Amino acid sequence: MTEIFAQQVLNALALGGVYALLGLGLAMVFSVLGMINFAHGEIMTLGGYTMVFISATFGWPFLLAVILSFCVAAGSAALIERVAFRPVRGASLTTMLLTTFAISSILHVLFQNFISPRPIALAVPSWLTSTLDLGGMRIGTLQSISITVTLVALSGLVAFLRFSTLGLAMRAAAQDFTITRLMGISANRVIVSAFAISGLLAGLSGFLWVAQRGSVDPLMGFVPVLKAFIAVVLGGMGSLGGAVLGGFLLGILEVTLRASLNESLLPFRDAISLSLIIGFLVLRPNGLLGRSDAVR
Amino acid sequence: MHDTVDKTDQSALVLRGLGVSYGVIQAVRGLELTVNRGEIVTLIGPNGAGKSSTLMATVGLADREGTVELLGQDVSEFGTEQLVRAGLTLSPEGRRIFPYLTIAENLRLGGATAKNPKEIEQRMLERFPKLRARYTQTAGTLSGGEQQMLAIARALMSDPKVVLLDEPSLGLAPKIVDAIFETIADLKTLGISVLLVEQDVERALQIADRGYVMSHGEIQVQGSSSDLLTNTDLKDMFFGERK
Repeated sequence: MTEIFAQQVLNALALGGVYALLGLGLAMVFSVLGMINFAHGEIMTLGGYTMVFISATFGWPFLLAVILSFCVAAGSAALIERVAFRPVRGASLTTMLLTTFAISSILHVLFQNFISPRPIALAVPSWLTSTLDLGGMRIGTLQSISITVTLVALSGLVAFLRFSTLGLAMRAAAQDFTITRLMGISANRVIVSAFAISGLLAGLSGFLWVAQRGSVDPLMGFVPVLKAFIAVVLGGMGSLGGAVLGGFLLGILEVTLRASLNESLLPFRDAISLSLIIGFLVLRPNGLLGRSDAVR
Repeated sequence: MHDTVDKTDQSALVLRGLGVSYGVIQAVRGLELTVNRGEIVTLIGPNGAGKSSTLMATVGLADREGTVELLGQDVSEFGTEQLVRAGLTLSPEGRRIFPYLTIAENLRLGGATAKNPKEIEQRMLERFPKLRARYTQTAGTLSGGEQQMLAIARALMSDPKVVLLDEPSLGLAPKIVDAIFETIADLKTLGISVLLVEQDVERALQIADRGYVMSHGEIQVQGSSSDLLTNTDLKDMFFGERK
């Protein structure tokens, strides 16, 4: 019983960690541009494909493929900002949102036509799918890695946001972007860095997601990014800490429902969790840590 | 247009033919204004005259027409970040400090482009001891007066040559206002040129060398502060109750 409970806690934290990383990526871009980047899921997918191709085509070590996938995800997010978002910066929010949908659709089509519309398997090393024995309790290696990667990434990001000038400028930009420019800090630098970090986080979550599923397909990023968006809203738009908290709570909620609902109700798991979140937002419209002035 | 710095030029900031539009509404037109080195100049006028628009456009935070010269250099094509690096800064209306950052972080950001930020920060904390006492506190928890002190200190952290101050005394208690005006007057002794937009016209003219009176987006009157303080029309407009 204790082992099952511990396993469920780990599952919840592992799933919540992926939502937290993805949600944090969405929140970083939202904090500087006031827009949700719905192409975030495709960046996650691009990271997944990079892993698959590098390990399958070149036969390079799995860990190297994983690290390169992070670089590709971060680089492509920065490139998308330069090519697609910078030209429409200053346009209406609707225009910017349509741009995110356009990029998402273009990447979808490219994945389907130039890679494959069907899932492509990733040869996940056996050590990643094994279990660890901790004092008689068997714990999944992947879940443990997921939680560790999430905690390390979040700690690194907190240190960056707190101690570096660029990180500080990002936090300031989330509060008042115009005045941040008055500090002599380049707006372009802040925005492109926010996209690159957001891409890196998408790459990290892509690795954790693909390692769990063992394959990549063109639509892979859609559901997790939708969940991450819900996590951002739950945590409070404009709050980076809120996105993390929202991600973990959503993960805990989903795993709890999965473990407690009887079989006939399981298909309604997402509907139930969404209803609970909507109920919460009715009582607290700005989410857990959101500010009333955050939505620009 | 000239890109080289003219060292013999005594002007710190020159605005020529400055125009600011918001869609079809022209907030400022054909504005000509000069602030000389080490001088305090005040820009006064009724609400909606275009004073804040002038300051925002000068630092590149509003679209503008016309030219801007800073320390003898044409900086019309500079973006806000470049202007700050070139020695111009603004303490905006409503203070606009970063409320969820600490005082230390607000100051650190203000000094992001300075060569010696630690040294400037020490000077700021000596000038504003209340900021030292609340150094690790988030800025949103400060009183209005303390927030204004922080806004001015943050602007000065970039080690500017020209400071634009927009309504620094707005909504503050008289005692705090005294301290704020004392600080502004001190800037002159540090060789910093000041363009001050202020609703307390009499106080502004008392510390300024010269003044410009703006109305409907245009400069209507300009002159030395002593002349403007005794100008009968201005007295009617701004100090009517004291006649």
